[in-house]
Amino acid sequence: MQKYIIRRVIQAIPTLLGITLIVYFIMLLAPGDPVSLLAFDPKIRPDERERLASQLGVNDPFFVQYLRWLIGDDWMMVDTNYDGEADAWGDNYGILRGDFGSSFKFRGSNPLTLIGERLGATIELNIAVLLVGLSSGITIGVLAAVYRGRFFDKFTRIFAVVGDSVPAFWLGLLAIVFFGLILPRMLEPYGIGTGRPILPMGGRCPPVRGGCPPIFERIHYLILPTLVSALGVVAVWSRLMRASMLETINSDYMRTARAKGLSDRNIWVKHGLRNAILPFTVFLGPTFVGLIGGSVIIERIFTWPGVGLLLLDGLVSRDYPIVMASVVIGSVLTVIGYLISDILYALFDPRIRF
Amino acid sequence: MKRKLALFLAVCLCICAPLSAQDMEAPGAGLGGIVIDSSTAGDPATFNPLIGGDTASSAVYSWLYPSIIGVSPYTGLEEPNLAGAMASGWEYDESGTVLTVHLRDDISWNDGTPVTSADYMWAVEATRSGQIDSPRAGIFETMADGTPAGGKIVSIEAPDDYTVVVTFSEADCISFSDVNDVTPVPAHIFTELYGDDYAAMNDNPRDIPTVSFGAFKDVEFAAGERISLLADQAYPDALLGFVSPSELVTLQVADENVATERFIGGEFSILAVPATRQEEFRTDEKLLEFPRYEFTGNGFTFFSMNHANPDNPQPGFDEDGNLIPQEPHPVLGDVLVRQAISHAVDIDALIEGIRDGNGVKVATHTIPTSWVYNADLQYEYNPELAMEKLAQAGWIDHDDNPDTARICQDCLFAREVDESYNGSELTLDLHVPAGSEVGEQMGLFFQAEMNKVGFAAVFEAIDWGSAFLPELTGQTFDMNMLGWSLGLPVDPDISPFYYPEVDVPGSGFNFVSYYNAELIELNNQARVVPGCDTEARAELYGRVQEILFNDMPYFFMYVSESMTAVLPGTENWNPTPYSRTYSMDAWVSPAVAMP
Repeated sequence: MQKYIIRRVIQAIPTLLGITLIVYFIMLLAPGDPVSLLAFDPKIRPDERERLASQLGVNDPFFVQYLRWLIGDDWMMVDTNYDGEADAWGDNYGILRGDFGSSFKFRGSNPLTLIGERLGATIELNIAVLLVGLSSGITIGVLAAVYRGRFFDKFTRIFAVVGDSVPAFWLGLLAIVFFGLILPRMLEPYGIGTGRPILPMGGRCPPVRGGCPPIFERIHYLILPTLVSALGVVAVWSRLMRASMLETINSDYMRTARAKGLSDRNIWVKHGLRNAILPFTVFLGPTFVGLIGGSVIIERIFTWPGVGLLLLDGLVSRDYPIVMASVVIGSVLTVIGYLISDILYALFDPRIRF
Repeated sequence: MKRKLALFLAVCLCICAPLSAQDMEAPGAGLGGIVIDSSTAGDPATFNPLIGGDTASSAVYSWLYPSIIGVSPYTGLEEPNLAGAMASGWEYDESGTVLTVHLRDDISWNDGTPVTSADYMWAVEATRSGQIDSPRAGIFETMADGTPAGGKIVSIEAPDDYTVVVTFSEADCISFSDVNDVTPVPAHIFTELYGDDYAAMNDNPRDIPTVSFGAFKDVEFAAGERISLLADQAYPDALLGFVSPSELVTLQVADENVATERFIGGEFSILAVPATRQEEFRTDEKLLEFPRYEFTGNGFTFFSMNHANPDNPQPGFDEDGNLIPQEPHPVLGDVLVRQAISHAVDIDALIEGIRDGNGVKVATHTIPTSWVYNADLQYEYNPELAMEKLAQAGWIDHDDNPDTARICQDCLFAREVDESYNGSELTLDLHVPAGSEVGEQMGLFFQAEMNKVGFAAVFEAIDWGSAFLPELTGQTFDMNMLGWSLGLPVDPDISPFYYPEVDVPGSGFNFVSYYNAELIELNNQARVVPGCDTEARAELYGRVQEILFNDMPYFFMYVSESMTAVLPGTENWNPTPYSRTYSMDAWVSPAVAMP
């Protein structure tokens, strides 16, 4: 196992470098430039824009920009007074030496610091989504298989298609309007509530001073974004779980279990579920990484202060250091996610050997 | 007459303002509740006014630092002795190049240190040093090391604690507002923090100011989430003598529809109501209880019409400063075609149908509340006249079918550039930035209206960063739509947009490559009017507007009718055309909903 892990980590290095090279290339290839976006102000003269471009290094050829980002520029002469002539050694160390540069938009701010400020919120939301999504999805999938062909099964199959198809931004807006406005007004005449929102319509913490309280004191802030985001997870996992469970039901060991006179609960949970769930350990890591990547919409609708919004902002404003830092972190998480999935699979299934 | 009436109204408003303040009542210092605002501008890049330039940053530090010259929330113009500003008066010398600003001696930072000229001078020296990432260095003629900076301020000196003397390279009414581009900072604190190493500010953009001057202080920042400021009872200019709200919180909201729903749900104290939701606030019974203020916005929406050939964008001047004659745009190079478009599109119908009536039709670069606005200039909707002008311009209806595109028969481009252009169709690309439903509807409306008179206009909504902006600044577009906010103080100067110096593909703001020598001469005259007499300037700008109206470098469409609403029960809200929040230090705000 150790050898396998080491091999996978070594294999990941060229993969990560390849990802960064391709993303950097695509990013620079895209029309538009950060200087136009940052300096779209008639008070800023054309020569000042040129100076800004030099400061940001965005006028250099692609490979110079990429190498500077990757290995820094302390090995080359750079133009420090922006007169068009290289006059001093650079002072960037590049990401290989832990220097992620400085954000274009938030000048002077390290992209890692900016991402770090928000990563906790994204992880918190996605863990909640994963917990709700998986537990509901697996339960629904198993029950659908157990009650195959009955109303519950048919209902969940329709639910899975709908849940997978409904756009999160639309559902999010509906949830905000329903729980924030419609439901409170419906309940008020019956003496329930004061007509004010039952659940917070956005944000991660109460808008009061003193930082964010512990999660159990603000769990209600998680409910709407978690439910909306988890719907897709529930839809996919319940469908997969149902199919896997049906496959397991027809296997020999299930028949043997029944012949031995085990209780239904034992048969379904101990023998059926355990075996049916095994293939999904492979999806666990990528699902989590996928959720983080797909947080942008949920974070935008519910004003959840996570990395997704920062990345979106970085992309829109062509903030290359922010985008690249996000790509590096996302890529590393993806590689780790797949690695953990493989390891879990080996741990759960004794037939797997690396 | 109109200008006199406007001035009379402004004076009335100014007289009424202190009376309004006297009428205000609040339970006491810090007892007026928490004000919660929303913002779609994202995180501030900095809390330091010397390096900040983005909207999100200035929204925070404008509460924390004074300006040297105040801008009236009633008139949008600079005035002495305004709350939150240092100037008690100013005068020019006879040459009009030396401005002496007298400062108030009754204001202090919240640690008790008087606010003096030294605070402004520290900010000036830091900005002029060239060491900091300041977007405002261009106001100076030269930087501290002698490199040209392109501005007109030659020097700024402080002969004593309460006087600042600014010397300009030439008399220029516009440069007056440059003085305000530099925000005074507490010199005693900034010296302690940075000394002469101004560049250190670049590395610490989110340093929280420990000493400030304003209704609020003590920034607490949560990335992507909120900015909280506490009431500063040491603020000497508070309307009631104390700051009524205990706290001002600005919450980030990325989507304006979400912000609107959350406001209706009671989560925010104030909302800039989006244009598409204003009618609801006027008619929906449940929303009528929200106090609202409607005002004419400080910006306009227009279509740029490229005068030069988009296949061959050229700068206005060559390297030696000589004017480069530009190849005309095949269609829009002819003023008759541009005028035809102005007659082909029914802007009144656009405002009514697409913007729910929330707009005031304009036809020049000024807004109805401006002291130079000429309401007599209006584009006439007259499709017949549009077709007549197209025919005059050599674009003929060759098949007597208004549904097909006209073709060139001795049109300007065929006459002056390429004879083989004869027979070409009257085609144009109309672009708007993607993402705005209203914008896209307007683009479609323009397409339909123009095609009725014989254009083959093709509308497309394109991404702002990757497509719209590159073609706008690169001057490779035909017609594209943009909204423009004018900022304060309101001034009709046109130099940033219509001069050949700023006709620079890739970075200049004369996107349409428009050039008119008479217009530039008139604008230059208006900038050096002795004493910057507004009446004399208004006359010159009146002629400027006429030229723009006839030449049509842009098709100005409308100024937005804007709306701001607050929670029911909000007291002492005194909105004005140029500020909806200037009286916030007196507000008594009802408790927001916090489930």
